Amino acid sequence: MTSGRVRARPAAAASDGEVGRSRLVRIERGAHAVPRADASRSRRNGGGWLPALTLITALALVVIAIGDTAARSGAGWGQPLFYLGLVAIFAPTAARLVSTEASRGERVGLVVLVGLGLYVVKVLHDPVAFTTHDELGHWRAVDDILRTGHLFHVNPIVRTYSAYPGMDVVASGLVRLSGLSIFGAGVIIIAAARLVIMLALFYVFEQVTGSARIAGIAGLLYATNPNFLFFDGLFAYESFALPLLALVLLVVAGVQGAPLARRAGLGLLGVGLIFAVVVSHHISSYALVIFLALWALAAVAVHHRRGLPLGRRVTAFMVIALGATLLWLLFVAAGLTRSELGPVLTGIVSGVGELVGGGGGGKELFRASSGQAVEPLWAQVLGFGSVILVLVAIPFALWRGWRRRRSAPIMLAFGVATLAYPVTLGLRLTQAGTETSNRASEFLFIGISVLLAVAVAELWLPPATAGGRLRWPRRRVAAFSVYATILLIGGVIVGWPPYDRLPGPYLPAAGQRSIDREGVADAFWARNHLPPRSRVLADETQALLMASYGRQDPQGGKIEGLSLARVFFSPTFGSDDRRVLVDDRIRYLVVDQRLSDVLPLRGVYVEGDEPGAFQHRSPIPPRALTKFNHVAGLSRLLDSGHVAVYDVTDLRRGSPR
Amino acid sequence: MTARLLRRTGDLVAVIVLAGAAAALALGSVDVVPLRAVFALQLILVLPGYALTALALGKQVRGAARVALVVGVSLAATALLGVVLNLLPSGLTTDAWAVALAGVTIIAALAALRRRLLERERWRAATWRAVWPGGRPAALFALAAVAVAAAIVIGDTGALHQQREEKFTQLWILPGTSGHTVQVGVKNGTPAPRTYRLVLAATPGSGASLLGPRVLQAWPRISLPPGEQWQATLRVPDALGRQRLQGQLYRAGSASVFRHVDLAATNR
Repeated sequence: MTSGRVRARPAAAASDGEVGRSRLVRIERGAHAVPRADASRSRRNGGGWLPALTLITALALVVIAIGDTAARSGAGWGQPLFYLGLVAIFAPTAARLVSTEASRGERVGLVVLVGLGLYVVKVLHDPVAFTTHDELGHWRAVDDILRTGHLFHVNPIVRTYSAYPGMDVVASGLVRLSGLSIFGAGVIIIAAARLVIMLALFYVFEQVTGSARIAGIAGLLYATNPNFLFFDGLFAYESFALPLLALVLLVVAGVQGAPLARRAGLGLLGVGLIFAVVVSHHISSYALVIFLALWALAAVAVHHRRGLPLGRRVTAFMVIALGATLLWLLFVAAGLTRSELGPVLTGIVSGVGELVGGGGGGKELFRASSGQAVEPLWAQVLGFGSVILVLVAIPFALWRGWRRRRSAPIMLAFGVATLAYPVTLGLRLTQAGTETSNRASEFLFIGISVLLAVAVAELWLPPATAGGRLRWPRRRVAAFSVYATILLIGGVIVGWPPYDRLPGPYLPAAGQRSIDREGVADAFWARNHLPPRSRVLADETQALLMASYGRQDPQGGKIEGLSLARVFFSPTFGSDDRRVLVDDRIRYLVVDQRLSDVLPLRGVYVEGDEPGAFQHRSPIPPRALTKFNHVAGLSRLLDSGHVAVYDVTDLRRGSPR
Repeated sequence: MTARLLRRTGDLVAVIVLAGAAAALALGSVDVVPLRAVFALQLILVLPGYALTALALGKQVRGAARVALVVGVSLAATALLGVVLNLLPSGLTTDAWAVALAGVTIIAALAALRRRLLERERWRAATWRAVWPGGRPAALFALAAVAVAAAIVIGDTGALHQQREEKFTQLWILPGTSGHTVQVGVKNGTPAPRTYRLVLAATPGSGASLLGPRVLQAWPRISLPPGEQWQATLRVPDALGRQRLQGQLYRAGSASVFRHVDLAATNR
C-alpha cells in the first residue's frame, strides 16, 4: 500500500510534498506536462490561433465601442452590440483553450488576451475620465498626495483609502515623473496590474495542476467572476492589490522547488510583494493570510511529517503576512478599517437576522431598491443560470480537487474557497450583504476556477490521448464554450447594475450615470473658489464630485439623532434642518434639482441614513429642494441650472430669518 | 570577447542606462510629455522589477512568467518606495521619485551584473528571431492593433460628443477679498458662443424676490465663446448696510431670469 503510493508520486515530491513540476524555475520549460517540443511547435505554427483570436477580440472591441457610443445617446441597439462583443471576445477563446491542440505559449497568450480584452471593455465605458465612486475616491487620494507630497490624508469619500495608499503612491509617482493626468496614469497602472494577475494566475494554476491546458481553462474561468469585467478594472486599491496577491502565491509555490541558491532571492521577492499587498488593500491582505494559513494546514494535514518542509515554508510566509498585516492595522489603519468594515459587518448581521426572523432586511433580486424592475427576464435567467451552473459543477470540482490533494495540498485551500462560495451567495438576499457577496467573488474564484477547470479538463473534455472514449469532441468543446460564456455574461449581470453596464444619458441618483459635465464643472468651480476641505452637505453624486474634483469634505450620518440628509427631504426649512446644518458646522449646501425627477436607482439619494432609504416610493418633492431659495440665512453662491451651491455660514451667525 | 560580454550583460547595462536617462529627464524638468511618459513608464513598470528579479533569480525564470514578475515587482517596489519617501521631509517630490527609483534600479542591476559575472551564469538574451511570430501572424497582430486603436478612438469620440451635448451655464457671486467687494462670474458651458445680460442689485428683502431692488451695476452684453468664463469685481457701497446682493443672468433677447444668485450681507 505504502510502496504503491510512493511509486505513484513523482520523485521530486518526496521532500516537499509538492510535485516536482511545481518548481517556478521550470515554468518556462514547462516541466513534463508541457513538452519542450511545444515551444518550437508554437513558433512553427505562428502562435496557433492566437493572432486570429487577437484580431477577433480587437474587432469585438470595435463593436462594443460602437454599442457604447449608441448607448450614450440612448439608442437601444447599443446593448445587443455590447453583449455580442463580449461573446465574440470570450466564446472562441474558450473553445481554443479547452482544446488539446493549443501550445502552452498560445494558452498563456489567450489568457492574457481575455484579461486585457475585457479590461479595454471597461476603459471604453469611461474613456476620458473616471466616473465611479471608488475611482473618484482614489482620484482625490492621488490629488492629495500630489498637492502635499505626503500620504495618509483623511479621504472623505472612503476613509480607508488613506490608510492603504499603495496604488495611489504608484499613481502619484507616475504622474510626477511622466506628466500624465491622474486618469491616464490610473488606466495604465490597472492595465499593468491586469497583465500581472492573468499571468500570475496562469502560472500558479499550472504549477498546482501540472497542466498548461487546465491553467488556461482556469484563467478563463477566473475571468467569469462577477467583478472581473468592471469592478476589478476600476482604478481602485483592490484591482492593484489582487494581482500582487496572485504573484505572492506564485512566488510561494515557486520557492518549493527552487535551487537553494535562489530560494533566498525568491523569498525576499515574496516578502516584498507581501508588504506591497499589506500597504495597498486591507481585504487582500486578510485574504492572503487566510489563504496561506489554509495552504500550510493542508500541507501538514495531507503529508503529515513529509509535508513539513512545505508546511514550514508556507507557514513562514503566512507569519510574515500576518505580522505585517497586524502591524499595519495597529499602527496605521486601526480606526479607519473599523469605521469602514464595522458598519458593513453590522449591516450584514442585522440583515441576516431580520431575514431569518421574517423582518424587512431582505432584498428582492434583480430589482432596484426603489421597487422598479431593472432587469429583463432574459437577463435574470442568465444571472441565475450562471450561478446555478457554477453550483452544479462544484461537487465534481471538489471531487477532482480532492483526488489531487496529495500532489498539491493547495487544492484543499482552493476547496475551502469553493465551499465558501454558496455561503456568500446567501448574503445577496440581504441589502447590506449584497456588496460583500459580490466582492468575495474575485477572491473565491481563484479557488473555484482552478477546481472547475480540473473537472472540465478531466471529466467533460479529457485529452484525446486518454483512451479515445470521448464522444462528440467538437460538440463538447462548443458546449464548454457556451457554458463559460454564460458564466461571463451572467456574472456581469449579477455583478454590475444594468444602468451602469453601458454608458448612457444622464440619470439622477444612479451612480456613474449621474456624473455629468455640469456637476464636474461645479466641482471644479468649488475647487477654484471655495476654501479647500470645507464641510459640505450634498446628495451622493454631488458629494462625490465635490470631494474629488472640488477638494471639499462632504459630511453624512447623523448628529444628535437627526440624519443630515433630512435637509433634502423636509418640505419646509424647519428648526431641525437649521439645527443639523449649524450643529454639524456645514459650510456649503449643494442642491441638485434633478433629484425630484425620478426615484433613485441605487435606493438612496444621499446615503443609507436618509429618511426612506431603500424604500422610496416617490421622488423628492420639488419644493423640498427649492425651499433653500427662501431661507434668509443662506446665500445662493452658484447657479448652474440644475445645481445650486448655498453658503450656510449665516445660519451659524444667528442671522435673522 | 567584448561581444560575448555584451551578450551576457547587455540587458542589465541597458537597464542602468534607461534608468539613468529616465531620472535625468525627470530631474531636468523636460516638458515633452510623451518623451517623459515613455521613460517614466519604464522606470515605474519595468526597470526596478527587471533589476530586482535579475538579482534574485538570475536566469531562472524567463518568458511570460518573468514578465509577470518584472511588472509585479516593479509595482510593488514603487509602492513600498513611496511609503519610505513619505518619511522624508520633502516627501514624494519629482526629484525624490526619480532619484529613489533610478537608485534602486541601478544598485540592483549592478549587483545582478556582479553576480552574473562572478557566477559565470549562462545568459542568453531573447533574440528577435525567438519572439518573431512570422509574417502572417504579425500582420494579424498589426491589424488587431489598428482595430483596438479604432475602438478607442470611437469610444473617445462618443464620450467627448456626449460631454459636448451636456450644456450648462454657471453664474456665481462671491465675497471679495476685502469686505467691501464682491465678485461675480459667468461661464458658458455650451458648445456655441452665447451672449448674456447680467444685473446686480441690492434688495432689503430675503430670498429670490426682487422686491424694491436697487440696481448697482448692469452688464448689458457679456459675450462668451464656448468654455470661456467672465469675471468682475465690484465695490459695494457702505450705504447698503445689511441688504442682500442679487445677481440675475438673462440670455440675450430674453426677459426671463436664466440664472440667479444672492449673497447675504454678513457674507460680504
